[in-house]
Amino acid sequence: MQSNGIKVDGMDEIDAQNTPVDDLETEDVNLFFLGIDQSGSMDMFQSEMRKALVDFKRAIENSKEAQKILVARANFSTRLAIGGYKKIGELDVDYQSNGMTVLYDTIIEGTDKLFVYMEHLKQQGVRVKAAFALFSDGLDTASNHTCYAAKDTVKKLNDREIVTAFISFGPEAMQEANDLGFKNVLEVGRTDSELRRALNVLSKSAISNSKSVVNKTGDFFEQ
Amino acid sequence: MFINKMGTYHSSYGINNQDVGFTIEMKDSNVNRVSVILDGCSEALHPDVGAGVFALLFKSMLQEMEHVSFDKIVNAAIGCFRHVMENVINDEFDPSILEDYMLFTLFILVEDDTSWRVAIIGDGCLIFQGNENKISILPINHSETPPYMAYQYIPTCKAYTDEPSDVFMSMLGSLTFTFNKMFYKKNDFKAIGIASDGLMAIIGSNEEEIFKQLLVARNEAGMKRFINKLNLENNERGGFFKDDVTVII
Repeated sequence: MQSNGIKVDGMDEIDAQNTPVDDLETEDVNLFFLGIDQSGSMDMFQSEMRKALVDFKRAIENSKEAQKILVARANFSTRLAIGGYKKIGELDVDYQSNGMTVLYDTIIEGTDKLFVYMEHLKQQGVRVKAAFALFSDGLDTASNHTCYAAKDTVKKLNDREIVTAFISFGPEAMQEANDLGFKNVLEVGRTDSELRRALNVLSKSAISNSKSVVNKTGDFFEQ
Repeated sequence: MFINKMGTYHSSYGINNQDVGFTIEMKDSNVNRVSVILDGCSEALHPDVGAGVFALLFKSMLQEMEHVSFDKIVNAAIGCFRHVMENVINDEFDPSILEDYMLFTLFILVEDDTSWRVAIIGDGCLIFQGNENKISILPINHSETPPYMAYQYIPTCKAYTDEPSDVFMSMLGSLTFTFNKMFYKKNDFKAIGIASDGLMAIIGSNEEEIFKQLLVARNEAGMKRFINKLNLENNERGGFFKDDVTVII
């Protein structure tokens, strides 16, 4: 049941997975999809990633935009786990790497969930902007979906003027990100300090995009 | 609680939101709070500009005032309007400037420890929250042609009621503005709010009860989403709140 007394079929489940509309403290929200590569190749950066995620969370929590930003964290390795869009205080900052890389599945299934929640919010009178960001160090190795399907999905995101952003941790994923059609691609070095910088850029960019009247589709990264 | 939403007629046709409003907490004063709503004339070109300038000036005047009373606040509003007009009108003054920029209503709510006092030139709605939380919305002076203050300065205007004069500058300071004034005791109500006439759309509608519930809950974000939702659901008939709507309670 919504606060306005109107019952809408099928919406309880969406609210349960994400932040219920009645719990929003604003009329406008900025959805931030954060897909993080947890494949085995990230093993040596586990500790640093945890610290970077703590900083990421703190930066948004301390910003004036915190009430408006809802983050969905997706962890992808051999398996894909996509969380709901939650207030920043609920962001899980744990990190465990293992297995392969289902990059394409993350794009497709993450986008599906994003679109469903966006539509749900809009129907409830919420003004919605969204950014879809991935952090990965390599190529897809295990997805069920094809590269073509992932590319088509990124195009749908771009067509709806949703920010598409990709941080390539090391050079390997750069070409893939560009081929997939991400409009904002940033390469960072494969070091601890660069990892911290990457997550710092992401938090600043998420905050800046939230402040902007329109989505910063082509100039998302704030460095 | 402060709501200020653009009407769908305005958004559809690229006309600015012409409602302006603010609330100011008065410190070291006999008055606790002053709320003001200015509603620009929809048919005018940019009344939001004049209303915005007036609101900025009036708010800054209120911030500087000490030991204020309701009458002093109303007089300050008149003084503020005259001040704006003195800076618009000169020897080569074109009256159409006033028609384009300065046609707006003025709605003032002054709250002290024991009462609410209202002064209005033009139309709007009063919102009463009874001690049992029952909400009533009362339209004030609802009319297609509100007596905008700037009419006093436009001799050619059909709504101008005084004798025409060619010498605009000499008129400054001598014009009278007629406010409707109302007084309500605090014992009789839990709260009183003001709204622009855009709120008329909710009166008698199926959505009125939900609107009142959100008002009682002071759910500002929920109210804004509710207005957006109503406009979205009524998109085929041009939206629900076609006129801009401002609510302060």
